[in-house]
Amino acid sequence: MSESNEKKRGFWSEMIYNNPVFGLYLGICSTLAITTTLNNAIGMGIAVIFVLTISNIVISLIAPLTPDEIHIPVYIVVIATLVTVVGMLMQAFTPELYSTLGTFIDLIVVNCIILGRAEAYACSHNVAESARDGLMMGLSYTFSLLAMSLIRQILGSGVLELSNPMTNQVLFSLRLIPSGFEIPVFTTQTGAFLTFAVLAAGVAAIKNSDEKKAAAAAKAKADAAKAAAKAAAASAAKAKEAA
Amino acid sequence: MRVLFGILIAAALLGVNAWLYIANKNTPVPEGCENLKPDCSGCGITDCAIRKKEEE
Amino acid sequence: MNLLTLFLSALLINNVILSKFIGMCPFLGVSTKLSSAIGMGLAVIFVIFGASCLSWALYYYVLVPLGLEYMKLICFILLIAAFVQFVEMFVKKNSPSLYKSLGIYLPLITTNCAVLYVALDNITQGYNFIETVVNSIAVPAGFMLVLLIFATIRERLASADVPDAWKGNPIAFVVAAIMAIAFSAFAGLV
Repeated sequence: MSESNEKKRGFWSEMIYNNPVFGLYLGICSTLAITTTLNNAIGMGIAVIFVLTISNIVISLIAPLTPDEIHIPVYIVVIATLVTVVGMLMQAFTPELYSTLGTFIDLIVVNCIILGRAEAYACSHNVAESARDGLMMGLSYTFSLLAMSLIRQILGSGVLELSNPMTNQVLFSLRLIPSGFEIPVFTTQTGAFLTFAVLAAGVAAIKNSDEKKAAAAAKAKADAAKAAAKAAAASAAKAKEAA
Repeated sequence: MRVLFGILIAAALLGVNAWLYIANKNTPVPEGCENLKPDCSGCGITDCAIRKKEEE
Repeated sequence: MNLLTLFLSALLINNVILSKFIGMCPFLGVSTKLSSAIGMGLAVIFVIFGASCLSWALYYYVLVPLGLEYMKLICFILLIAAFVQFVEMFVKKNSPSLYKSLGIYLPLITTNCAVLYVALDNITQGYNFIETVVNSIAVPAGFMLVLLIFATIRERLASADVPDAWKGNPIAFVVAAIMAIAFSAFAGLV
């Protein structure tokens, strides 16, 4: 994950390449568990974006002051405090969503994405860069959640539904698969594992084919350089001969 | 008052953590275990402490 | 609740990996070899047992009397981190052979979500101390059981001809999906 490569890519390919969930296998627990409906996915995604962005900002500010030996407990305190705040806010404003997401809101503390970004990025970059990184990582996590939950909700219940988490008012509801033809296994654990496997394999396939293309391009370049060198050597030899 | 207790408890726990982290770091690894590494390849955190040891 | 029922349901029916999806990182990371799966499993059982009992005591004897229940997340995660460091240091000093087999997995455990999950679950379910002890043994035992089964399957899988894109973790998830079907049959047990 070198940064020079990161900058060359566009927004969407960065989402695929640096996708924390399907590419790096971080934060899998919550991805598998809460993606049964679109509502859960959006709620969890926003909670993670909030925690990740603010923890990145705070950690980039306090990193120079923290002794190296104890940086992990200090980061953990920062993250746990933020998660407690998010949990309290959700309990107050979106109680139903909070009770469905349950312990997974608390388990954001041990979500590897957050501590991973703190250690890998935020502790060595300035505030603005860290905030941008937190936002990007949070967004790509949310996109992964959305992809999983769309597949699982549509195939599993046949209905695409979104409701307002504050009032539980249904915003829109669209039946895509006639009732009786849904595949309920997608709402179970098995469906979660299968959906994840297919999406992860898809990301791996895109990466593989791009790597192959890059390798082929590099090889062609090297071949061309070699051929040019050979031609130059040959012409030099000829010139020598003539002399 | 309650808030003060809360801050005190958190600070105490953080202090215990700091002490244990430093003490653990200063405890030498037993003989014959210096080059042991857990073969973990679960997540993609390329610069996690364990991964770094592995690459060395 | 009957203790045996509690044990069986935490071990098999509500299996921490296949039904709650908790502890997926070590499940994927340390399951390529059977020997490392055993080491990881035993280390997780020990840490979860110790950390959950300590968290239970901290919650009911310190946080509740002071009315600071909302601090449980911060306190528990710090307690877990401290406990893991303490165990690692203790094992390093006193038993090199134990360090060789279990100790090297300890740094992986602080951020294992199963530890925090069990500590929080004991509180949310309102378990008393005996139930906490049973639950904190049964949950990691279920984790180790699934980890061992999975490691034996993955050792076979290493020699299978898997399409390029599915190599490594994606095919492991397919295996987990099939195991989840098998484990869902335990639902009628209790």
